[in-house]
Parts: sequence; C-alpha cells; structure tokens
Amino acid sequence: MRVVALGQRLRHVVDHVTATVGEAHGERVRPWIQDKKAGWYAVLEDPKMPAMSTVLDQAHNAIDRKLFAMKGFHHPHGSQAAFLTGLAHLYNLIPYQRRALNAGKCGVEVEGGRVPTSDWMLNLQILTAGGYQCAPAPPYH
Amino acid sequence: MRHDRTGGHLGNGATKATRENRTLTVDLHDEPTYFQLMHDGQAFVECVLAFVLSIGFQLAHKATCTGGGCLTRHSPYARVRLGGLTVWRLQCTACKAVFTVLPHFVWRYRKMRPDVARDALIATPGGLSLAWCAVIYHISPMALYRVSCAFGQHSAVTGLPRCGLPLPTYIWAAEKHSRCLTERVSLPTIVRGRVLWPLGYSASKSAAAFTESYGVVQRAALAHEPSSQGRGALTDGFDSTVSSIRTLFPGARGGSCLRHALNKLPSKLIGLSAPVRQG
Repeated sequence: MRVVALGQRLRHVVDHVTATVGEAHGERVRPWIQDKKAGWYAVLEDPKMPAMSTVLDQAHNAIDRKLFAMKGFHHPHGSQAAFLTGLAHLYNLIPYQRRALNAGKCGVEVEGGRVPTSDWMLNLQILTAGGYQCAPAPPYH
Repeated sequence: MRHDRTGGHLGNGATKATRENRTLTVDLHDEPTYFQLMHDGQAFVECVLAFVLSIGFQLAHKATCTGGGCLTRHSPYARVRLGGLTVWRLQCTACKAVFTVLPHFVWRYRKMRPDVARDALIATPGGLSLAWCAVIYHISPMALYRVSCAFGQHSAVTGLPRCGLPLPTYIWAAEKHSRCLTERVSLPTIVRGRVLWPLGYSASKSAAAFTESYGVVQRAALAHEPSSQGRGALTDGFDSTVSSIRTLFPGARGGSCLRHALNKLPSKLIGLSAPVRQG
C-alpha cells in the first residue's frame, strides 16, 4: 500500500511540475525521479531497511563542528582520524538520555549489545584496551 | 637506536612494531584494594582473572597459543609520573604473552586520572567546545584532545563486536564532506540504529576510496562469519557511495534516502521562481 501511495505521489509531483511550469521542466524532473524510484521502493519493501538518516546526520554535524572547532589542534600529519574515532566511541558508549524508553542506556545497549560494566567510563577503558578479546558465545546463546 | 612505545625500532627510517597492546584495565573498586593486592601475588592474579571472567571477555593471547598454560605474575614497572605507582604484569606460560594490568584509576600512557576527565568527556560530544570544557573542568584542551585521540586508536569495527554487537547487515552509509585545515576531507560512516561505525578519514571522495573505507566492515564481517553478507544499504544518493556499496555488497538491496532527495529537488528546478518551486 505504501509503495503504491509513493508511486502515485511521485507521478503527481511530475504532473504538477509539467502542468505548472511546462513540459521541459517536467521532462527534467521525470528521469531524476525514475533514477531514484527504485531506491525508494527498496526502503518501503523491506521493513529491516533503515529509513531515517536523522541519527547519522546529527552525529555527522556534531563531529563536523568538533572537527572545525579543533582545527587549532590539528596538524598535517596529526591524528584527526583517531580523534574522530574517539568521538564516535563516546557517542556509542555514553548514555544519551535520562528519561523515556532508553533511560540511562548507551547506544550499544539500545541496539542489543552488552557492555562490561555499568560505568560508561570504565567500559570505554575496557573496550579500548588491547588485552581483551571476545569470548565465544555459549552454545545455548 | 631509539625505541617507540610499542617496542618498534625507529632507527634508519624503518619502523617495526614488535610488541602488541595487551593492556588489561581492571576494576578494583578503590585504590586501597589495589595497593593491598600488590603485596599478594596469588590474590592479585585471582582478582584479575575473576574480573575478566565477570565481564565475559577472554585474554588476547598470541595466535600461536595452544592453551593449557597458566598465568603468572610478571615483572612490574613503576609509573614515575604517577608518584612511582607500581604496575604489575601477567604472563601466559604457554605463549609467553605479557599483559599489563592497569587499575581502573590509571590510563595507558596518560598522567590524567579518568575521574578528572569524566565530565569533560561527557560534555565533549554534546557540543560544548573544548575551550569551555577547559574552563569548567580545569583540563587543558590539548589534554582532552589527546585523550580522545588515544581512545580513537582502537577501531570501532574491532571494539564494538566485543559488546556482542554483530557487524550490521542492514546499514545506512554516508559521508560527511568537511574541511580540515586546508584539505577537503570525507568521513565515511555506517550507522545501524543508535550505533556509529566510523570508518576513517578520507582525503578523496572517489568510489575507490570509499570502497576501501567501507570494505573494512565487509572484511571484518567475513572474518567473523564467512557466510555473512550485507543485505541492504541506504545511501543519500551520492554516486561514489552508491558505486562503492554496489561493489562491496553486490547482492544487497540498495535504498535511497527520501529526505535527501527532497532536499535536492529544488536544485532540479533551477530557473523557476520560488513560489512555483514551493508549490
């Protein structure tokens, strides 16, 4: 149903552009929408497919701001990649809200992962320590 | 001849890492417990092993280790900048791998105590500038920067699976195109739900560069589970991203982000007046 509705709306957009500003503009929009349509249908057809980019956009913008703010610390042969990866670790391991469904949980826990301890700082130290490795899952897991 | 911190020789322009990072951070609840355990070797080893078992991890032995060995207390060393704090090490009798045991109040190669940086690290990803962090929490911005860099030496692709998170099969892949100093850079990233999988820092936005970045996840997934394969990827429609995802995951369903397309639609209607475009 959602796929059909999307197809109708896309056709409506093209028809609206054609009727309002002329066939030339309509023909310019139509192939662009045709190119994208398969990708949009793919999102609707598979419920496991991620549909929203909000989390990534927010994180990317915050990282970008931090990268800009830190430009005084960078140098051409510095470790900007390491800095950004470190920020990502903080995003994943620091509990990100105090109320609602996932109160007190970090991103890893929300996605079903297990963190070693209840202290995010200690988790950060443990998970970035090189002496540990994953234990194999028990047979009943 | 000089030696780097990883034990590699830095002479004659040749760098060779001969020592792996086998640091174990152990939670000992408080400092007096650590100082008490230092005088009892057997209790120290038992305490460390109990902690490792309690968190469900294993020790990273050498690849050649056949098992069957036991752990013994290895020679200690003193951290001069921490007032001569003694740091003990453990050694596997089978593979001779040496694990440095750091108590929870000590960071590797850092003088700063973790509890000093805790609040500042919370504020850092929240958008507070490092300069203000320094004012509020009395930490120099450079120190905080270096701490973030130290954590970032460990890839998320190797760190997150330790939490039981499988490498994602349905992903949202995108890059942030930014500037750093005078260079234009791209930050390829994969997201699955609330978890970020950063994949480095690319100076090129070509399909080949992104294929290399996203290929890290594919290689890690195949190493973990040879039959695993990506099943779906949502992209923002950037040509290099789409091309690299198709190359790496040929059987995956490729989706396009509707919101990004709607943001781009006005640029397809150049030449029209604003009221017509908005209508």
